[in-house]
Amino acid sequence: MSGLEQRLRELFAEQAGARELRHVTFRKRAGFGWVPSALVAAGTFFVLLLLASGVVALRSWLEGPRPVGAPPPTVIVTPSPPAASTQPPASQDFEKIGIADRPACAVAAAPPLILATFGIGADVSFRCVLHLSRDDGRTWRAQLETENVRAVAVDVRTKSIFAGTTNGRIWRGDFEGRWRLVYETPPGTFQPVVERFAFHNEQIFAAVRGVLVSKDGETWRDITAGLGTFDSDISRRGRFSIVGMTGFAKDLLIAINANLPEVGLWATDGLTWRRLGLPPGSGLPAALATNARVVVLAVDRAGDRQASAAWVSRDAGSSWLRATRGAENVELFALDASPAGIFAGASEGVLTLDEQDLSWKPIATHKPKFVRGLRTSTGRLYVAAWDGLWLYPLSR
Amino acid sequence: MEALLATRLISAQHGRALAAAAQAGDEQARNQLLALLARELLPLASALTGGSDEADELLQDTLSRVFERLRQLQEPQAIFSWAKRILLHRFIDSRRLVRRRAEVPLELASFRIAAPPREDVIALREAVTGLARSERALLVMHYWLGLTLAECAQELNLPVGTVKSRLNAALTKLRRKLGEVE
Repeated sequence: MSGLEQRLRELFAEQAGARELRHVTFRKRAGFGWVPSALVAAGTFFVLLLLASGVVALRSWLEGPRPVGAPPPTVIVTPSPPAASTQPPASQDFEKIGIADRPACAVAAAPPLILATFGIGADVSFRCVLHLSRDDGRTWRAQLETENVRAVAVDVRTKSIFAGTTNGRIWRGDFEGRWRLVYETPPGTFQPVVERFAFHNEQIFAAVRGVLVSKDGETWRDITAGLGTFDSDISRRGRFSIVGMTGFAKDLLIAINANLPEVGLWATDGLTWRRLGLPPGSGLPAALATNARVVVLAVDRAGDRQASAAWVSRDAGSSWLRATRGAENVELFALDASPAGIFAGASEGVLTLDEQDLSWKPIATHKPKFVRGLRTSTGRLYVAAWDGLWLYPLSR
Repeated sequence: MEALLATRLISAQHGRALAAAAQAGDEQARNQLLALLARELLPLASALTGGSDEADELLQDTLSRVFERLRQLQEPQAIFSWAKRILLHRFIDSRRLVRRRAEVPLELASFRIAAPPREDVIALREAVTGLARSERALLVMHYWLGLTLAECAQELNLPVGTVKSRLNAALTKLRRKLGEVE
């Protein structure tokens, strides 16, 4: 066998192991009789279309001519809306506030305004469509419908909303849902996904193949230089994901999950980057959160692909304590911290951390499935999960 | 190696039993079967697509196809090779790769850490990515799956001579791209 053939063998072996399944879930069972189902669905669709056309024609006849302009965005009414109030609902369990049968991918909120992305059909892997609710999740309007939105943020200070897309764009909108493009990654950037936003020291940060910062939400500056070997063209082509970004004291912390040397936990004061060690023997970072007291890091548990683990640092990453009790058999996908507590979104349910004994406890009887995003705001916890968008009142 | 073979044997037996039960209409067995197939097929999907996100799409599409056609499978014991063949053909003919994920939505895949790639590995990876999909599939089948040329020919419904010449052409292209032409 020639050298090239041997190298091909090694390359394919490496690539074959480059991906691994975390879990396999089947949500919708189409059944074997999908053809009749499809015919029934198509028939129903046409009947509904005819009815809708009739209603529209009748309305237009009754109302007379309408002003010319852009059609209003689609409004989707959720089946069981919560009360439209800034007070948390009385229930002690989760309430579903998202669009029926749509998985939620990301969420940000400043009640009663909620910004969330929902998958198409049962799927969130290909496309997440941004939706805005201004009435606590009662009604939703689709936004930027041609974009695949991964990251969302609400800036109460400037009354702005932000959306980051998988093609490296940052959109800025107002609370009425009027958007404009404020940043585009340079052409040729490898996998330019805007993964998350963070607010810190009156600045907004965006993770997109590195880190951008903006003071006004309009002009963005790349502060990636100095982060590992990231300046190198070669390293720019590897897989790289910022799985957590949050302020802590004077620094901005980011957690990188990558097959590049940059993997791990990093801190910047806006000028230089420094590497903070990962907990000894831990796996790769999966999520990161901080409050005024602690840094919490979720990692893939080293040597065990079925579960993850959490670590807590009380000295900004210099030393770590393991915090896995109560979360032994779950994977942790998302973290959020606020004065109300530290929350982890898991493969099943949402857990809260007892900072004293470093144990996790479930927060409610309902357990959202495969939590992708968590956000606390005004005494509420918003949970974006495979089985929808959920609201949990934190004020008891 | 023995442990690996034993695991694969258990997997194959389990797959056969699940396929038979799923064909008889057992939904739980069908879901377990698809989960098992997902784990079996992911390495191949990943090798074919260079470890990219396309592996998820390819796997998803393949499983949807399996899901639709499970009742047509004549021999439940052939479930793995049948699914593998579907995956290979759907990779080669990317036009067949349609989004069927709403039918079999999976929560896939994370990625595993690897040592930073060396420059020569990157060059080889890029050279392989530049080949036609049918050539990439052939290289993976022969050099990674370890299929003989006759087995490759059978999988691809091609004469052995054609497979041999395509393999040589692919290697020549790679050597040229890597500057290794003698």
